[in-house]
Amino acid sequence: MERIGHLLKWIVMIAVALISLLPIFWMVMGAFRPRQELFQYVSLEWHLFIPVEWTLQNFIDLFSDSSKPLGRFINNTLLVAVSVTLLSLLFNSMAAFAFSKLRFRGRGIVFAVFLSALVIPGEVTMVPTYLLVHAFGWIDSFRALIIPAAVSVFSIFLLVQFFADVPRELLEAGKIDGASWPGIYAKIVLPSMVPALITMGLITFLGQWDAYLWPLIVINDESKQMLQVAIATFTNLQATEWGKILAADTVASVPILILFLFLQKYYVQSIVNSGIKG
Amino acid sequence: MKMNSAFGKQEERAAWLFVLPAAVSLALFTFYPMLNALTISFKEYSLINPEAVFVGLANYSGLLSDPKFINSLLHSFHFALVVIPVQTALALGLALLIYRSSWVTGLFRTVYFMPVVIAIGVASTLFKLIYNQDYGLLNSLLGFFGAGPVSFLSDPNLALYGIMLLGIWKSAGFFMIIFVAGLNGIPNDLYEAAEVDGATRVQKFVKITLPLLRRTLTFVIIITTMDALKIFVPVALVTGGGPADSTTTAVYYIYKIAFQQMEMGYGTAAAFILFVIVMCISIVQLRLLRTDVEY
Amino acid sequence: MLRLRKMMIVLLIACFGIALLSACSTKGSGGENAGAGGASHGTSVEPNKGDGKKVEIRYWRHDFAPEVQTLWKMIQSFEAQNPNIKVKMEVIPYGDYETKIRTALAAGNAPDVIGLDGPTLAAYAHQGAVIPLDAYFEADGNKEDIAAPVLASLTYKDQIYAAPLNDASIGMFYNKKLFEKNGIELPSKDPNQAWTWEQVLQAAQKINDPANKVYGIDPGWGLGEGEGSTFVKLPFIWQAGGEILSPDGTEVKGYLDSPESKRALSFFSSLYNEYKVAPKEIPPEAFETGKLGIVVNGPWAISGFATSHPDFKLGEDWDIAPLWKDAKQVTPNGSWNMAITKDSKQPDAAWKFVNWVTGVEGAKFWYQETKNLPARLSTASAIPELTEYPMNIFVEQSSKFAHPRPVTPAYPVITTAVSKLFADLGVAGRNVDEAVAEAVAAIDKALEKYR
Repeated sequence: MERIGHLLKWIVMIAVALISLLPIFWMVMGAFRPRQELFQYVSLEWHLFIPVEWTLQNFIDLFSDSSKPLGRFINNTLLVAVSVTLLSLLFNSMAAFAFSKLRFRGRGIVFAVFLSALVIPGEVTMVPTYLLVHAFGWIDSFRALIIPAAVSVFSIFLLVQFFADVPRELLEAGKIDGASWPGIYAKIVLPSMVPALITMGLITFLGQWDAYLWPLIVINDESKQMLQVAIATFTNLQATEWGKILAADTVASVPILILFLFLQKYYVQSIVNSGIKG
Repeated sequence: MKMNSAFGKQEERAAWLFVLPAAVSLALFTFYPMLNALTISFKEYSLINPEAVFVGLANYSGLLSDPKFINSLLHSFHFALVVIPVQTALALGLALLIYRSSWVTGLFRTVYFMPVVIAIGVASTLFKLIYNQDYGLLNSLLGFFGAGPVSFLSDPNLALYGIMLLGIWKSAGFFMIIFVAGLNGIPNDLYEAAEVDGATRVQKFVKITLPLLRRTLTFVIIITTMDALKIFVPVALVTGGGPADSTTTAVYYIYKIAFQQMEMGYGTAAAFILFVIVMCISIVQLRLLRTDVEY
Repeated sequence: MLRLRKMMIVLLIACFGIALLSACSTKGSGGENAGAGGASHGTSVEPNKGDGKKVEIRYWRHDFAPEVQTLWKMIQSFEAQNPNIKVKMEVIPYGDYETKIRTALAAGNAPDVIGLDGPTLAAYAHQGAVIPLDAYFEADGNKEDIAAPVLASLTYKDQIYAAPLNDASIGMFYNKKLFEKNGIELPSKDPNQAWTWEQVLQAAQKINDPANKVYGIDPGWGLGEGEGSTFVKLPFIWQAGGEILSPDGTEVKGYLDSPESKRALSFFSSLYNEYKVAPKEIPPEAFETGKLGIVVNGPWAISGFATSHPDFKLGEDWDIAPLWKDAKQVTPNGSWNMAITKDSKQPDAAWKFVNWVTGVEGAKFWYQETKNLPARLSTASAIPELTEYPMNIFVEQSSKFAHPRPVTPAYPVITTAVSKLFADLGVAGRNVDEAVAEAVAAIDKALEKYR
């Protein structure tokens, strides 16, 4: 019995792992296929996944188009995504600290109002937000991408989850030692919450790396454009260049996959130990 | 334990200062546009002509008798009703399988999280190709097992499930990690004590794990509900709301009305109806899942 | 429980409070808004006042590489001719082009010149988002040179609102190898000898071989949404003798639900459901890779196939025949145009640029570079290859059989309703009468506003 259960567990774990990985693997391999090969293999065989004829042509096409400097778009996107991530780590963790650990009148109500911001679809507030950003004179500027994105209710909610695990006694001990609240936040809460902050930072970075509709609307100057908007231009009215799209998708995904694989040591693994036993 | 009032006052002032930057940003970039949108919803407002006419509740009453809007709401609910339980159960199941630390579980954890890292735009494009009835990877694999073909893109009865599958593939790993953190916050001695009492695995899960995971579960369900009811990007990219409107969810419908048909007032009113519905559902959920932590 | 109720009440009060606050501040920020808008225009207008200083014209269009490259060349030559005017072109992904333009128009921040798809013209004109160009056309626009059906599609309430870059038409593209393999007689290349629906159906039936993943026909760019999809499907209705709207564009009842229109829709549905010669889902690049016998497409696809699939050769692997006919021979027309927005502070300079690109000489260059069907008669007569196969098919069709899409501000609703109607019949297998009634109701509701 025990053995069958064990076997079953492994089968499920491996099956889910395959389902998680196969689409990504197929995408990366597809980027190395010549155009005519992409939809040629339909039965389950080796070449369904591995190209017969390896080619870098898709990547060469992608990077050699001087009217679409992909390297520049990646730089722009990095700049915006890193700025947003840093700001949001600070502001969201501050708010989450107050909501989860500090006692103040109106806490529940303010938090409820905050949460209601999660409910409205962003597509609807896009035009009024555009009008606002236009009034500030931020159209065609990275400010329009960075400042409105710096605070996220989702991130605050996520951090409140983790911060709730920090026992208040720990904070009060700090208080007795004469630390100020900002001191407690910086010296006690933040250091114990590194995995949670990395989780939030990664999700924020990812959100910015993927941003499409908002940058499309507020950025006019092509030299300031973001990566996903550039990728969208490969889907044309007349013909969709699948090879190029898979290559572009690979280029867009691989850096972030590497970043994730690098961070996961600090995050996916150590989140395991983040629960502070009370 | 009661604190002295000086301590409390100081704490209160500190708290407001901590919340202030977030509050200012939200007021400016979320609530102010939201209230502008609310006023737009009472107007006949063409997107490209800001001179709008006030029409009172006409947009709202029109929507409540608009079969296309009602259908789009039903599609969103259908989506949410499947995705919330399935995705949550899957995420929790995976978390239970791999939450204990070892290098093998670490490897699986990383693999399960990888779809989260793929952009939703990229994932949507990818699944559109994978779902192709004749040449997609999915049907190639199903064909090997003697099943299929499944026409996720052209069968109006199946298309919504294709979007669900994509959504779950993309998000389950994230919630799994949240559950892993929650599971590791449960003190081990509770389980040990239960074992001494001769509790079975199921008993331990129901009596210890679930109650102590309640706060995590609340977070996961609330966020999944909001995400599911607002599903938009995969619909726009994979099916474009089709075939025959079968995947036109509420937000996709709203987007089409507001931007393609340029009826901003009508579309915004639809968004506020959705807002009220999601708000009510979230309040009910919070009430059912009420925990020691105040939300 | 109590706490929750209290929370909700306070939440409501807070909402109203902020609402009041924002109502007050809306006025304030409205003023600010205008101020900022004025200021930003000020900077771009100022140089215009001082003689010899540069004016900048902003121009937005959707991305399509061959056309964008041509425009870069034309902008260069234009700037050389007009040293005082600088053109700043910004290229936007096709899928969300309209969203971007419309959001900018909502903020009064639109560029001087925009690319405008023919059927959206009436909506833009009705809302005053683009300005009439009649005076400019009278002065130096050579209006008489523009093909009459094209001009009609750009005219709303007796005023012209856009200058055409080119026209468009579609033909029947067929895989020659698949025809020969199945012993099907090839259709004529003579624009006056179009195949009938029945001939097309018979050929599609012979080619159709779903077991080997070869399909007979894709009669209208799949069953998805989008203006391109509507563009190639509407001709079915016109060919059967039906119409979408009344000639004055105010009534849908009695037109889209006429017996002729319904016959067209039934035929379209039968391709998918009764004869099953049309796939509900089309593999990517199906025609170019020999998996599809017959498709509709336009002249732009000729160069498109040549670059994407150089081994798939016109004349050897595939050919073009005139678009099929039924009771009538009808083809669609209209394409992308250039228009000047209400936000432009320098419409004269903007027109200079528009006329440079779309005028008599510009149109010839445009054809040579993009091979798009010309909208100007002078282009058609100046270039010999337009009277030869394959371009002659499109040219003759557009002068003899072209039918403009309905010109009405309600068109955005019509295109959605019509593509949904075709999808309902093709993929969902719905009853024709019911599906038509639903589409008619949706369109009627939209038309009501403009009566």
